[in-house]
Amino acid sequence: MRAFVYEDASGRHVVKISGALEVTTAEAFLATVEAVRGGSGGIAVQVDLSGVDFLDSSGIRALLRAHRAAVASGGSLTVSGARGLVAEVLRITAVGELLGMSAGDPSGDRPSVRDDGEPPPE
Amino acid sequence: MPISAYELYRSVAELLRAMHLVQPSDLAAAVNLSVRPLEMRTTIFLVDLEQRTLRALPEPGRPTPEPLPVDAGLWGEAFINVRTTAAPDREDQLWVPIVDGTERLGVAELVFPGPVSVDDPDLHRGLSALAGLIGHMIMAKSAYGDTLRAWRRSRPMSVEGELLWRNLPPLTFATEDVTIAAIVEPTYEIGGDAFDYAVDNDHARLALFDAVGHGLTASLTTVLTLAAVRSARSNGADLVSAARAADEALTGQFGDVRYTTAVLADLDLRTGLLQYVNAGHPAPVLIRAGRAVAQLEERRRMPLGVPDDRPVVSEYQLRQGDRLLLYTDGVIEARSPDGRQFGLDRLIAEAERHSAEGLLAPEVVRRLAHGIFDRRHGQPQDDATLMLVEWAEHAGAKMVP
Repeated sequence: MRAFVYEDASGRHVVKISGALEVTTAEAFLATVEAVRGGSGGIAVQVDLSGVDFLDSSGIRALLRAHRAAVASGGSLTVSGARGLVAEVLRITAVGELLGMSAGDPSGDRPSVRDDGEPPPE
Repeated sequence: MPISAYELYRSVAELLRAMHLVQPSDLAAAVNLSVRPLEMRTTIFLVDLEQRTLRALPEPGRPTPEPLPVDAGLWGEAFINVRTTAAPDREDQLWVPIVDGTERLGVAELVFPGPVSVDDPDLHRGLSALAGLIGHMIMAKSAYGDTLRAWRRSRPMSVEGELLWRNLPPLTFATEDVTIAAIVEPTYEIGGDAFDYAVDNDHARLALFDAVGHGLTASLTTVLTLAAVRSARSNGADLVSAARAADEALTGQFGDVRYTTAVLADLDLRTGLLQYVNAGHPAPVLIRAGRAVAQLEERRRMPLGVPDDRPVVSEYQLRQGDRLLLYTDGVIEARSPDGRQFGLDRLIAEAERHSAEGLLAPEVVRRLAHGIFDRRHGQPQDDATLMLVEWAEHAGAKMVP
């Protein structure tokens, strides 16, 4: 995993990471976000996942921990740019919703279900 | 002279009487003592937890037969189909399935003093009673010692596996209206996955769990989730409240975000109405007449342990004969050495192929799990758990020996 930190035009702190966010890189990711927040409250952090190609349950947990710490200090943490299987993992776990991933984000390869022409449930 | 059901019933009564004071390691000897007046010999083979090998219970003073593979022979047929089998060239021998309810525990080799017929209805009634009692005894006595449990393990059990297996219900349950069959892999290193069910008052409460991470920490997270959901359920909580109980238990116990994705469901066995809460888990698949017709993903809440107060219950109306397939992501993420995933489409296709062969639900999930395991070539990967639920009139009838 690699991390690149900058402030965007609106003054928002962006952490752009690339590679895999999983059990071996989770702590490094958390340390990066912590450094961006620098102990001050009310900071809005956006995690740009457009370069991430692998996200497992430990990676999800790292995002949740970072989110909780951000909210506890009066700030926020959102994600953006998730694609493919990374977006799919965020959608299935519902954690994408918590982290402000819009429903319009491209989702990954959805498994196909044959349609038998029935009305949808409910 | 053929053995009558009455004579076998007498042996069953003797065994029932003796059972009160039998230690688990003496179970095989107690069974043989009860059938000695009939000049019969029994050898009880227990299936190992991975359901690949049948292993004979040792008995003092007798050589222990070699283990037998499930996927071969008359013993395998007896186990797989839950049917008594007989060799064409051995008129004095039968292989009888041993079940507890519908949970397949193994087979018994019965050797008689003279020729017997597998088609003799009188003998069949008597043997059903004997084999049924042996199955109940195995389950009942397993609680009081290590022998029977240890005999079902082909390898040492990990700490996380021990913790988890002791908290799982039996792999199979059936009534007239429903069959439930589940399986977990890898057998001896299972950590973060679990399944659960409880069938009472014409409702089947079903659950599948997958805790974050691996190893013992994941296993502790899972069993805490299980306990919270069960405690809420047995206190009368609905699905939403049970999910919240798990949130509270997990956030109260772990300060560092430990979560469990889950599906909690309630199937009304009279009407077929399925209610479910999906807490960040892969969507269950509804299979109707051999085709996957829906993925149940109306709405989701956060994984258990990430508090979410929205009452997100969804519903789906099942039809008679419908089957519901619940799975954890380890099932469809199982990779072969060339990196290819098993995939949901493949999972459904194989489930359908096995069902079309007329296999029983526990056999379908056994083959699916072995297919996944074999594809991994023994590589350690994520836990994989499957649960197949069929709602149909007389669903359980074919699983009775």
